[in-house]
Amino acid sequence: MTADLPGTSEFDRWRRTSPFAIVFFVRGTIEQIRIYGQLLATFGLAFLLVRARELAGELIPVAILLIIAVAVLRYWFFRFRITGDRILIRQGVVKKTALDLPLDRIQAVNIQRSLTDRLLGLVTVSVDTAGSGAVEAVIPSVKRAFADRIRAQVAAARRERLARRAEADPSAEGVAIPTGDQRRPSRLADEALAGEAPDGRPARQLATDDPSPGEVMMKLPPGDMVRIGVRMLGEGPVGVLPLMFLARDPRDLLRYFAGQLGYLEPISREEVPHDLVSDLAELIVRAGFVAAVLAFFAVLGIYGAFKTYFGFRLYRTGAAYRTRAGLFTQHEVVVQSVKVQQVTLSQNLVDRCFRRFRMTAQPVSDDAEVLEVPLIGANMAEGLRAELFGSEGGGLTLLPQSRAMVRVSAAFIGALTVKIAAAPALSIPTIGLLFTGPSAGWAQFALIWVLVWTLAGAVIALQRWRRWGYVHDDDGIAVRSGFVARKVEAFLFRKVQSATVKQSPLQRLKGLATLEMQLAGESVEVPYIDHRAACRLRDYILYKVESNARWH
Amino acid sequence: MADSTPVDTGVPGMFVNPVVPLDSLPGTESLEWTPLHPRFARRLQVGALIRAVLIVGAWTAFHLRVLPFIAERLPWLPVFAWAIIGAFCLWSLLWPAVAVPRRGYVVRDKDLLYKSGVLWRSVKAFPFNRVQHTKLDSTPLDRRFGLASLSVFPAGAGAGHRIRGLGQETAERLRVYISERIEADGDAESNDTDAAPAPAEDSEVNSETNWETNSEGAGDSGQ
Repeated sequence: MTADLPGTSEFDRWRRTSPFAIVFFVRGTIEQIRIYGQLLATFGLAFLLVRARELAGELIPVAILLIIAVAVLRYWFFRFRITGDRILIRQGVVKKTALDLPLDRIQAVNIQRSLTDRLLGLVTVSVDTAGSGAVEAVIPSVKRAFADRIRAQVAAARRERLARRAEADPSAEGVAIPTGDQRRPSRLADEALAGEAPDGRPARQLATDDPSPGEVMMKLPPGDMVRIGVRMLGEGPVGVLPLMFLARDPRDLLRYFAGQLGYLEPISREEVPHDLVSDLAELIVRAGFVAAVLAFFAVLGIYGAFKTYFGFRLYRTGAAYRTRAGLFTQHEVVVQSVKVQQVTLSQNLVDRCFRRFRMTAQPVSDDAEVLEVPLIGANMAEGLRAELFGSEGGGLTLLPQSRAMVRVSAAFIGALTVKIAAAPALSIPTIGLLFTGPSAGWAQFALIWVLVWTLAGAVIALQRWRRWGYVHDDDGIAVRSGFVARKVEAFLFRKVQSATVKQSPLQRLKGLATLEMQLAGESVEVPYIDHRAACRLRDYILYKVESNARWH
Repeated sequence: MADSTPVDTGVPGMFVNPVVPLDSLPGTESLEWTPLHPRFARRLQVGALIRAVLIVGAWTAFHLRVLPFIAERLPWLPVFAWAIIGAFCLWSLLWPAVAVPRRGYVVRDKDLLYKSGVLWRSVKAFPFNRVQHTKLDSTPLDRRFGLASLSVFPAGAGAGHRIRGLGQETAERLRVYISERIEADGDAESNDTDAAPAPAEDSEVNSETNWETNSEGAGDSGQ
């Protein structure tokens, strides 16, 4: 704990936050109104509002005053307190709620800074507790010192608990003894450091001189915001492009085929309106339209990227990693490497053009915030992965193009084809048969239909199969999957919560199996590998899990 | 089975990297699976029968009161619907006799295995040192047959994994055993380096869980 921090007494009584928090509550109120507004709209009540627009001149100022009044009330009734071992929050104007967060349950203390916060040098603290999605512990517009204080106390509570444990169980005194690993002499020391206020900066500071929360590992220049923005288009372009190549109104084509198949009166090819010049003109118009749509979404994406990721920085303090970014509202996420369950590297088509990736590290629970690096190069990603996993998982890789990745069995293609194509390929002709009875036209249609679906299914399945791959070493596994985009999920075996070996009838026939590994966050599957190999891997994972209690 | 776990890692936090003789890892090939309670298939069939009676009753009412008004336009509907209802009821009456014998579980020293499935088979493994808490529950019908369901909750598993069709006493013994294992692991977990919320290692939450399940268990035996 740093000397600049105010004494315990300052926070150990019921306090309000600073009045600037009213802005936060105004926003909260508006957000609630927006949600109710959508509800109203769905019930058609928005119609009434439109009818009443003559009254708008009077209603709007009243509404604004009401919103501010509600926000002031909410501010007034919001109180918090930090005692020795817990944070207490009382809030609510009509419906009162009292929150009680034991410090040693707190997973992370994250910080957001809205524009007003930044102008005034304040922060909004949100507290992550694992496994309590419904609990929302946000303390708006407080001094930075408060956040540092909570972090320090969380770290202290943790140390105390560990000390108590060590006392109770002297056989496990390895805790404080440095291990053979030179890079991190003691996890515990790192841990304690991570929760600590990084450097004893004075409590009062201006928005401009943020305290540097550790060593800067990477920054994203504004140019990268454009890349991120374009990336947000994702596979969209692939979906939009076919618009360009639809030669004419598809209804004409459908009408023609319907005629040929005998469902409607046949028409000849010539009766379908057709004109080369107008086709060409139409193509150009379509191209322009597609370009405009893409440009529109690109601009939206770039704006979004600037808003969320502007000034992105990744810091490291001991074993804690922290990102800070945002144009207006600055968002800070802290994740400790021991709590990381799995690391994901994904790359869509646009990323692939830039040779970059998106990386996320998922901590213990679903509601805890994910550490995200929106744009990262291959080397940096591998380096960060190695750091997050520490001395373990040295044989893993996050890079989808890696040659180490082992493909799954090719039987996957056939199985997935059947899975995709069977239902639509069989159901539509059957329904057709029920309605029209057997006929030559039906047979022709059914044949084409089944062929098209089988082909489409096979192409999709082949592409999916090309994406599947895995590589594992003694400590962990990396699994690659995807369709157009590629994704590699990597985790250490000791983070696994439960494991399942599944076999479909086809897999049993071919001696294959699917291995599913459930983590605290999500579950990862390796499909269509050798059954014996799957069982052995499962047994090995169980051995790793059962001989190691550390998973968060 | 479990004492053949090859290597004791000693202090969990220390970096030790023993060579693991892969072939000596305990496998699941030679396990003796404990079948579910012999009355479970019958209980499912009785449940299916009750459901079938309800469905047939509801559809008969529909058939008599509503169908005459729409029968003109959909002449195939009654036959179609009766065929589907009949197939469903027959299936749910017969299937338990096939499926239940293929389910089974094994309790080992460090984990619980559960297998199920006739065509699509699966073997799930739940290591005790990842289980957060357990739950027992039984419906009135279960209790009439002296059965109970045990759910285990690893972190992030949402609704948990449910093993149905255990005898009430077996389920309770299993629950107590797993709780003991969890506590044992929680005590051993002294090198855990952070402020974890895991109920497994928190006596307060643990006692709460026990209380909850205990009271349920008491309810069961009272029946």
